[in-house]
Amino acid sequence: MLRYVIRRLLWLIPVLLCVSLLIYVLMDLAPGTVIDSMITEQMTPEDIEKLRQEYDLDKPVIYRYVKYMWGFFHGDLGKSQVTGLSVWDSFISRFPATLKLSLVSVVFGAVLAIPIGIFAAQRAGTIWDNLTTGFTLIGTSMPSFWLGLLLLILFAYKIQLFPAGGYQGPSSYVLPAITSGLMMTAITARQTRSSMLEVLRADYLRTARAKGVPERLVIRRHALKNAWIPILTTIGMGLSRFLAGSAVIETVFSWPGIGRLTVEAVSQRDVTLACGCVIMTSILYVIILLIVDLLYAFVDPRIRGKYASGSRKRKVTA
Amino acid sequence: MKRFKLVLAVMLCVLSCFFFLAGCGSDQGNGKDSGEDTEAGGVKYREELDVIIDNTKIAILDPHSPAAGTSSATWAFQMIYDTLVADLGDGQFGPDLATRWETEDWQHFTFHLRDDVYFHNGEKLTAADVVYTVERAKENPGSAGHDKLSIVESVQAVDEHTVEMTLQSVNVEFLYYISDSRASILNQKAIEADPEKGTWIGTGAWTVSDFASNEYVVLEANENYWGEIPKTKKMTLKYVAEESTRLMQLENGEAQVCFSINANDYDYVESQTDKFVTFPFTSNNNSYIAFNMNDPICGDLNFRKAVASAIDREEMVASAFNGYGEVNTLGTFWGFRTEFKNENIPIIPKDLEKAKEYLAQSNYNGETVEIVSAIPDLIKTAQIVQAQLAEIGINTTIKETDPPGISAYATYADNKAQMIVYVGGISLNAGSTKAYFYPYGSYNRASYKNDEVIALYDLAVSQADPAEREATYHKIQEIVAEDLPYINLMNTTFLVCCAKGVEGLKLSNLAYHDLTYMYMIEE
Repeated sequence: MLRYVIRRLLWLIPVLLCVSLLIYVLMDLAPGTVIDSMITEQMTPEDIEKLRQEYDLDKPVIYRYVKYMWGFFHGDLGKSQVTGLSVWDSFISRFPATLKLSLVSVVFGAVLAIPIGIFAAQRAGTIWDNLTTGFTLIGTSMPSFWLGLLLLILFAYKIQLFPAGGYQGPSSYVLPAITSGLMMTAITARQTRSSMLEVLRADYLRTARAKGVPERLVIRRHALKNAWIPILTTIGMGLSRFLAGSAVIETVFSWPGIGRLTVEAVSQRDVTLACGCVIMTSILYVIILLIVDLLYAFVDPRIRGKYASGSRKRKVTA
Repeated sequence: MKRFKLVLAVMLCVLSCFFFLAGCGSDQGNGKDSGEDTEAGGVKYREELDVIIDNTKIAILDPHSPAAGTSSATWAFQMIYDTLVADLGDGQFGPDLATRWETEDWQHFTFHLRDDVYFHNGEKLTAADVVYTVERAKENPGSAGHDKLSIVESVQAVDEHTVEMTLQSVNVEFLYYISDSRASILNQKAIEADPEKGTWIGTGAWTVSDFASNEYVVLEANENYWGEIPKTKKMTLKYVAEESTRLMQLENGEAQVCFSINANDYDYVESQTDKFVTFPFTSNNNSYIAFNMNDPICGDLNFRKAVASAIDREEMVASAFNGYGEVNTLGTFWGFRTEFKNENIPIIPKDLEKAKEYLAQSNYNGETVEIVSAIPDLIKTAQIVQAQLAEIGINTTIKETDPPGISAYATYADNKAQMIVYVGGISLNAGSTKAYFYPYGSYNRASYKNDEVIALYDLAVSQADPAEREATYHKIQEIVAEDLPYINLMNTTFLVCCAKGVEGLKLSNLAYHDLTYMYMIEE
């Protein structure tokens, strides 16, 4: 398993190289540079040229990219070209807000989605199943900014139960977590339902029931355990997406997270900050997917067995 | 049935958490419950104010950073720092950190500093801090601080409270520059000890207690301030990205002041007189059409006159700005409140027949002319221009970009645009217009060059006599009106919406509002 983890982590290097090169090239292709948002009334052409040199804009994009990546592989994410603040510090200062909201959203989504999915699978074809399918369809198709605004109007403006945006205190998590968690609830509930449907028709469950195992235990011990993998994948993907930052949710709820930081960096042509944010979120993405893969081994003994037999084979060969 | 109960229980748990959390709002989060009041002379003042700033955001608290050029950053700077002199309006200046100053030739200045001023870190203000500030600003091109202080050739401390400055050349507008909050005096020791947070230290009426770039700055009244101490004790300037959220925060008391209400909501907030007070201000910045003077079509004066005769500014204000704007009535390009405005230059009126005549005499032969624009309201304006020009037979296409895109697209030396619909920043001093008309001027998107105008700008900056200076600037405006590189369209009117009881806000046509002594009287 260790070899597997190391191999997956090594894959990070080409991923990061590709992602960073892509963002560098795309931002270079966009009209305007970081100094275009700095030009002031009294600036002379000499001042502008001096700035261009300072930001290496007089050199080819590949030079700037290699210079940036050299710094990155030496542990330096650079400084924001606009504010001059450390990219690492900027990222880290926003990360807790994104992490907390992501976790709350995932917990909210998973806690609702799994029972809903099981409930629908057990009643496949009934009115309850149709209602659940309708709910998941609405959840997946409703734009999050629209849902966010509706929730704000109802709970922040009309009832005044929660604050209208901001990042202060537990109550400020509720509306953004519902907004982002609801889509995940819908997707995970659908996934849970279809996974459970496959499992519920399996012979071993019929056998378990025939042996008199109570239905509750049949579902919890036998069915759910075998349906976990696709559910885990959906939850893991959801968490990675949240951690990459949702600029839309963060904008609607004035949430000071990674998504807005990245969007602002792009709009200001701040290549260093944008690249740093994208690299960091890519790392998070890869790590979370790796954790999800490792969790497969814990929930499914067959996968655990494969890892174990792989190690044994290597020992025998040696 | 048991399973159903289990599902129900889980859902009830989630709902309970939901309502439990509703009661866990922090004081900061729910502004309506925070902010205890102070009582003075029978009047109760709210202790804390939450202010939603405009879209420009506060990226950094350092006047010498290129990111500090935004209008909302100047609001914080005015609260945190002090300048050498204070702009009293109408070209008059009064003492601030300098009690007095002398100059005989507008090139050599001597400033005498107050001796009772302390920075927020307890350090006493000395001439060395002024010297350090000027030198630091000069080292940071691209910053607004550099913009204001780069004309200083040398600066030296004569004694602990006297500073001498020599400018590169005579400049009668120097006091304008040093009264700008971006030319505020910083503390050398604080910055050297902590380059990032040292710039938070000023001598102003407010101290910084917390700051998150592009999000918020929390300020507390400086009880040791050398001047008048603010009535409000704590003020948070925060950025709220979504316009609907801003209005909701104002409605439910999470904010007391909002500078960036959507123009579509202006009528609503103005009608809510029991809840809100509104303060309008008209921006000094002009929305304009710029013509690339090097373009074969737009470089033709008859084409430009045809465009000028075809446009209807009132329609633009009504459609693109919801009626909130001042239609331009001046036949030249000058700031709404910029000094020495030549009111005698008549505007080219809308006359479609005349426009068609001009067009027939121009180089235009049915080609499609590209209009470049950025920012939603101005893109709407560009669409209106497009429709109006179609009435006289000019075909246009609109290229949408963003502000850095437009800066890159239309530079003086390499102008790829034909026509531009955009908004331009102009200060109150006449010399600031140079950026539009001087070769290589940073905002010269028309690639305009006229040797007579260059000579007049060089002359004006050395004319100490206001009457002489006025005559020179009037002449510049006349020449520009004839050349028509720009067509002035309108000046946007913004509405600042406050909770009832908010007073003491000083609005500026440049959007450099002064919130230092803003307070709210509680009923």
